[in-house]
Parts: sequence; structure tokens; C-alpha cells
Amino acid sequence: MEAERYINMTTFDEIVTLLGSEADKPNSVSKVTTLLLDSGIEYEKIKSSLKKRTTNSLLICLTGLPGAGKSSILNCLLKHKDLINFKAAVLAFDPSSKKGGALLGDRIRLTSERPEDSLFFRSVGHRGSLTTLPSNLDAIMAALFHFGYDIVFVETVGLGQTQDSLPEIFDLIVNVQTLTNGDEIQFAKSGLIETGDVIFFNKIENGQNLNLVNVFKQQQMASISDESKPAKVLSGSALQNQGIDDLVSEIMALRNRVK
Amino acid sequence: MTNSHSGAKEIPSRVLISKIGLDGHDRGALIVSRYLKDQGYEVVYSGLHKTPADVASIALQEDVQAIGLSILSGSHLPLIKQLKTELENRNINSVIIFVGGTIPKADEAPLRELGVDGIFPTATPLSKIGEWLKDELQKRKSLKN
Repeated sequence: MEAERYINMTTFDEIVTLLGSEADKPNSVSKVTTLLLDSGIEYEKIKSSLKKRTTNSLLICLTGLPGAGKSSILNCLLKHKDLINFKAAVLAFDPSSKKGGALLGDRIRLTSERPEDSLFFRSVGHRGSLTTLPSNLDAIMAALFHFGYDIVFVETVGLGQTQDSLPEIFDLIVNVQTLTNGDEIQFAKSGLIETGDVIFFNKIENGQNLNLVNVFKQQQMASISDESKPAKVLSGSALQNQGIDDLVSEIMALRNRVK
Repeated sequence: MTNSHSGAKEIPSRVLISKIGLDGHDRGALIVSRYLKDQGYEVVYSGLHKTPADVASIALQEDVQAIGLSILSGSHLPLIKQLKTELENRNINSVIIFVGGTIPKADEAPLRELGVDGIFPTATPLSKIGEWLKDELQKRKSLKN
């Protein structure tokens, strides 16, 4: 019955109505996310209906190779004791086929037992867009902060050696890499490996292959220039919950800095 | 609904495929997921061992038009009954529900009474599920307009 009331409204009116209603919040969050993703309506258009983002809210991007462990690391973060009291929202992208379909499987890694009102998780098909993330991502993020989420995670589709750059709206970009994709020459190349505030080498169970991580750090130090701040290099294993504390520290350190 | 940034392309319908209860056999669920993906649906696959509350909560967060459940444990009647309650608790009233797996003929009528829209026992051809779902979504769409 509720839904029928909105049928004759335009998508824009529907979004504004939902943003303004306090009743049935979980459904409103979900509906607004769908409407923004489907319509591409821009931030400027809905800005006046949105509450301001709180100073301590965080916007984190997880990117990296397909199968590197982005979803598994996200699961570790959602369960981490220092982050458990933050209301979290997740937008997890997976690729779409040419025909438009998609198998959205990022939830499979999710073992967090957060209460329903402390996690909103939306799986999103990439839908063949020309950019890695939707052009109105800022609108979607702002809507999630409006609904009271403290920390929002965006997990990109698995990326490779060519892609457009990520939008400059994130407080932190975590690039998840593994060491099973070639030797140290790959580190010196361009592309995804140059992305991110933090590079997290995953699947380093009990410190094995740590020497390759050190090679990466040495290469990075040798090429430091004044104008570029080098990415923080971390390593660990989502499977063994190793190295996650270091990543959480990076996130927590942002809390006081983020506007 | 129009999609302003990609022109004429139609927005895919969204389907949740889930395994509910103590049942670890997910081959059927994965085959159906993959088939529906190839038919142009956005399929959210939940993974194994979900409770009725989990399924309702996922359906809400993912804003799906249909929920497909694979059940081979024999507990389909109590599980679906609980799921209906959980969906109602979350104001989800118009989602299509279909069930696949080992469903005895005798249980089909009680399942339909609980609000199940489609029943597809083991060995159902995939195309039958696909055609049915397409029709069912079309029906709901024309009801709305």
C-alpha cells in the first residue's frame, strides 16, 4: 500500500519524500539507494534535502584485483572491535554481463552478525558504466550519511591494469593486492598498483612471502619524490584475521582529521 | 523508471537466491543463479545456512523483486511460514517468492497457501523457471501501472 502512494510521483519527488520521512527507515534507505543508482540523479539536485555529514563519519573505498580479498577484508573490518559500534553501510560492486545480468556474490564473505540496524549492505551491478563507480556516487554516499550511518564502505569491482581513476571523495582508499600475480617487476609498472592511500597485501598467511612485500617497500622508498605521499604498505591475511588491526588503526587515525 | 545516464538500457530486475536452514547443498542454487544472470537479472546470492530473518533482512537491504529459495532439507513448510512473518515484520508485502528443491507434491498446496508463488521441484528445466519469473514480474508491473 505504501509503495502505491508514490507511483505517480517522479523519481526525484519520491527520493525527496523518502529522505524527509522518519518512519520505516530501513525501507527508506534501501529505496533511496535503488532510486539513486537507477536514475543517476545528481548530488546538487538533492543537496537541500540532506542532513549534513557529521565530522566523524568516514568514507572508505576498497579496491584491488579480482579475488584479492576485498570482500573478506571488508568482513573483517565490519567485525572488528574498534569499528563494531559504528553504524556501517556498504555498497559492493560486482561486474555485469553484456546482457545486463550480474551475479552479485559479495555477501557470501559476510559473516558479521551485526544487528540489522547497524549494517546496510547493498550489492550493486556495475551495469557496464564507463566509469568504475557511478557518476552520482557522491549523492548516494550523502544519502547514506543522511540516514545516520557513521562509516560507509564502497567496494569496487575487481580492477586490473587499466581503469579510470577513482572519484576524489573518499577519506581513505585501500588497494587490496596479492603476491601471486607475478614477480616484483609488476610492482614497478603503472596502473592499479599506483592507486590508494593504503596498499594491503592480502593472503600473507603467517608472514610467508613477506620478503616480496619488503621488495615493494624498497622500490617505493627509492622512488619517493617530494610531491607524492607514498601509500602506506600493510600486509596480512583476511582468512587468518592477521594485519587487520593495522588497517583499522589507519581508519581510526582518520576520525579526528576528517571534516 | 527511467535510467537517465545510460539512455535506453533497461534496468535489470533483482532476484535474491538463498539457501535457508540447515542444508548445505548449493549446486542447484548456484546453477539457477547463473542461469538467471545469463537471462539478464541481477542476482544476489546469499550463501548457505541463512535463517528466515536473514533472508527477509537481505531482501529488504537489496531491494529485490523476487526471492528464490532452494530447500532440500524437508523443512520447507515451517521455514517459509517463518519467512512470511519476517517479511511482514519488515513491511515487505509485494515480493515474489519461489521455491525449488525436494518438495513433495502434497506440500505444494500448503506452500501456495503460505504465499509461495512458484514451486519448482528438482529436475525442473531452467527455462521453465526463467519463463515463469519473466511472466510473474510482468504481471506485477502491469498491476502497478
